[in-house]
Amino acid sequence: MLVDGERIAACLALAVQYAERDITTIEGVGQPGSPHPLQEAFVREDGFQCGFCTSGQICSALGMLAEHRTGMPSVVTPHLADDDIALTDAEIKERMSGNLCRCGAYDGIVGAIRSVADHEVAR
Amino acid sequence: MKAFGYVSAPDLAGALEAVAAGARPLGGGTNLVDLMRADVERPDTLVDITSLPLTGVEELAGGGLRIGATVRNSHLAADRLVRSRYPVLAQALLAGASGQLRNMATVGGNLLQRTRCPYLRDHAAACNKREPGSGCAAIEGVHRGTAVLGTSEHCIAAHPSDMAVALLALDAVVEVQSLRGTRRIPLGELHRAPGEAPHVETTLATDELITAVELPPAAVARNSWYRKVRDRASFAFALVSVAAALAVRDGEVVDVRLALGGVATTPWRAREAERVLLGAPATEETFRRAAAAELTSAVARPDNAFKIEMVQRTIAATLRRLATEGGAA
Ligand SMILES: Cc1cc2nc3c(=O)[nH]c(=O)nc-3n(C[C@H](O)[C@H](O)[C@H](O)COP(=O)(O)OP(=O)(O)OC[C@H]3O[C@@H](n4cnc5c(N)ncnc54)[C@H](O)[C@@H]3O)c2cc1C
Ligand code: FES
Repeated sequence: MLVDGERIAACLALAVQYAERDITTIEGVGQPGSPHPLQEAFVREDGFQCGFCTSGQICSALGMLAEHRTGMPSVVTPHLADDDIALTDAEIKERMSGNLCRCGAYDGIVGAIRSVADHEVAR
Repeated sequence: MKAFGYVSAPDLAGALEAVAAGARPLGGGTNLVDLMRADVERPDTLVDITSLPLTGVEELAGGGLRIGATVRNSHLAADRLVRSRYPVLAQALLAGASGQLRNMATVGGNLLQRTRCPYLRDHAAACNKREPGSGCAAIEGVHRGTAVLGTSEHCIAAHPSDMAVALLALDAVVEVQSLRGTRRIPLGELHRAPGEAPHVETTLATDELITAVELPPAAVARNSWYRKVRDRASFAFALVSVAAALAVRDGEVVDVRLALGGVATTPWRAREAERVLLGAPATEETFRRAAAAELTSAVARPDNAFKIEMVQRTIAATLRRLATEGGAA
């Protein structure tokens, strides 16, 4: 889930520690009838099979894209001191590694995130 | 899970009072909450320290860095000064856990995280860390992930932190406060080898709070690298890891820092290897000789013996990378 826009692992969070903070779960992303562009991309790019992991994947990806926009490096970033870090497939995979998908929809997940990230860059 | 109380510390004085009265500091909770669920940690009260003003990363006069104890692992890794001056630290942080967990985990909590040896959480098995005097099930049991350096007959659990390995190579100093005052502990003296008392994991007193970590300036750290070898490429603990910084002039090693993770019961400074390297030609032969010197005291069990060879190769590969292509910045 997102706390003030930052992704965290809800399973290890004590709710009381996040009182008064701005919490976003998948229920706050998009609306029935008008899904978020990333939700549309998950449908279009085959980003899920059973759907169990999907809410976490989408919230995590939103947090990940925001991190990337602030210049956060990852462990596969070639030069950590660089200002502009290209969001390659290798970067997306590394940055999304905290979200496991038992169905193995990884290629579709990366594709969905890639298409939204490319669209953001193009804008 | 045992019922517990929760207070959010209003200020540092309040936090120190709570800790002196027996409350356990709560950082990101990514280790403590997990172990409370597993009934391994059973605190009566938690004092949340994440609202304290310990969130800064400040440059010190002379070029060092002061890092607040509750700085999140992700924020520290993204810090500009860390990335350019101490890239090994940024890399080690980014090699740990996942994006979500790094946004929660604090510097103090990372230093004090407990071993991932499965027997720590297995109430059906012996573990001298969980239940002093009960024995060590890992020695004859599942021990592929355990340590080969710094072990005792009472415990062979490996220290899991990536960040601490890089900090140790950088000669970090830990600032600790209590109602009794402030003291500064070289990071190498914070963690205790298991010896006769595996449950005593650090030299901290129960009323002490980590308030900051300081890094002295180190020109050599600009050419540094963290190499982590694991069962899968991401979101996994280290089998072995190496934090290294290297300066070579006219083909000779003029400065070097080396620390190891995954192979020891504490973050492990490779002093023997550093001794061999300093002043020697920066060649593959030297790198291998240095690695071998560090591992002479290793004690293997059948299923973790592979780590001795693996870490030597990783040391040599990391130094080779720094001598040829350069560091992570
Ligand atoms: C799925 C998973 C994967 C992980 N993978 C990795 C990995 O690959 N590499 C790695 O290095 N780590 C890994 N971790 C561990 C993670 O880095 C630690 O859990 C985290 O750094 C702990 O920080 P925290 O702030 O959440 O600590 P907490 O859980 O809040 O606290 C941990 C301990 O430190 C004490 N404490 C906290 N702050 C202070 C303070 N300022 N002063 C005194 N005592 C304090 C607490 O009382 C507690 O005993 C992983 C964790 C999980 C759950
Ligand atoms: S879609 Fe089934 S677990 Fe990811």
